[in-house]
Amino acid sequence: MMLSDPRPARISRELSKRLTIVILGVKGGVGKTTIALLLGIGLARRGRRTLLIDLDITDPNLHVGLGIDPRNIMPGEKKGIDPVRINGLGFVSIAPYAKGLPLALRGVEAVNALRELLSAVDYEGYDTVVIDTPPGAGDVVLDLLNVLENPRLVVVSSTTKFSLDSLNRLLWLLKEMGKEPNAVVYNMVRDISNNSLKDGILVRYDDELENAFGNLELLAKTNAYKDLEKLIDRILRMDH
Amino acid sequence: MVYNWMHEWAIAEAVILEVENLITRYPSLRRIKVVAGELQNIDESVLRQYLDMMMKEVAPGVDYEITREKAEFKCNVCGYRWSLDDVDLSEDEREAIHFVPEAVHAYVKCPSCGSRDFIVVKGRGIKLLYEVRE
Repeated sequence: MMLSDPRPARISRELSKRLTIVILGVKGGVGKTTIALLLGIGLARRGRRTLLIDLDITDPNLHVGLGIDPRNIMPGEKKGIDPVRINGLGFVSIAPYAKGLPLALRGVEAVNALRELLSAVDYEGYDTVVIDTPPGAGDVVLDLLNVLENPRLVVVSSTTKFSLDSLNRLLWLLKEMGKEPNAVVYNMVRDISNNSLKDGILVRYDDELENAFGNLELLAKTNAYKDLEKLIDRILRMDH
Repeated sequence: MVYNWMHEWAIAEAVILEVENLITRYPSLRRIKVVAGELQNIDESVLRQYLDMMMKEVAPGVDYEITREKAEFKCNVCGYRWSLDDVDLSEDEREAIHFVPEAVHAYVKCPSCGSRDFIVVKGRGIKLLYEVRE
């Protein structure tokens, strides 16, 4: 007997019909989740019906940025998992199912959780999907890139020597896979006149962010959000 | 017909899409087995309702059957194996695991050594088994 997993078929069909943006991060702590959150807010403010999906399976925290306590919410169900709604944004994560408890998942199980979440969502009513991922290019990210047909890729890096070193390797890998990113975002930049970063979108280091997390109106007033509007413009142009 | 919308519909839709892929690849396909893991505990009647409706349309010559698979866990630290019968879960926890079986890692530890580092050996969710005769 041969074995087949039915989930990638639905993931591929549903997400290829929508503008799907995958946020990749070179390392932990570069602000990947912040960029995913700000991008989601920005796309929703430009009229896109946006769904944010947290695929950082073993360490999800996009809900913190959205101001949600995962112990107090449980998504409903329609023709699939009905995303939680927050200020006009849809939201899907493993966090409400784990209730904030630790999730020790080995690679194959993290991939199973990724496929389960993506394949079980009711995407009706959404034309745009922003996906946050775990850092680096491990099992979850590789499986995601394999399952999705034509995602827009945004790579996030900070400007430390360690991050830039990792960025080179990630860009190399993506190029070899035929999946070159649509944008590189340099996050937490302290010197925006730094010419060596002119190939990317620069987002300034922003002290205000920490206080704004959990409040989408405040987040949209931060300098980081304003810097990211270039990326929002670029992504919307890609969809035309 | 009145449908009771449940997330099983997305699972059933995935099964149908994959069956479509399989019969394109293997036109001689006549039978598939839908294996439903105990951990996910799907509502079989909803799955059947959707499959009965759609199989006629997308794969008229293909029969299907649904079989259940018991869940089994194995600890990565001490090697102990156990089943879902050995685990005490609340209704809310069962509901969470129903949506995402990997959520079991939040609520279950190895009964022998207490580690959260275990794997679901079998019986997690939906998979398809099929035989192709050339």
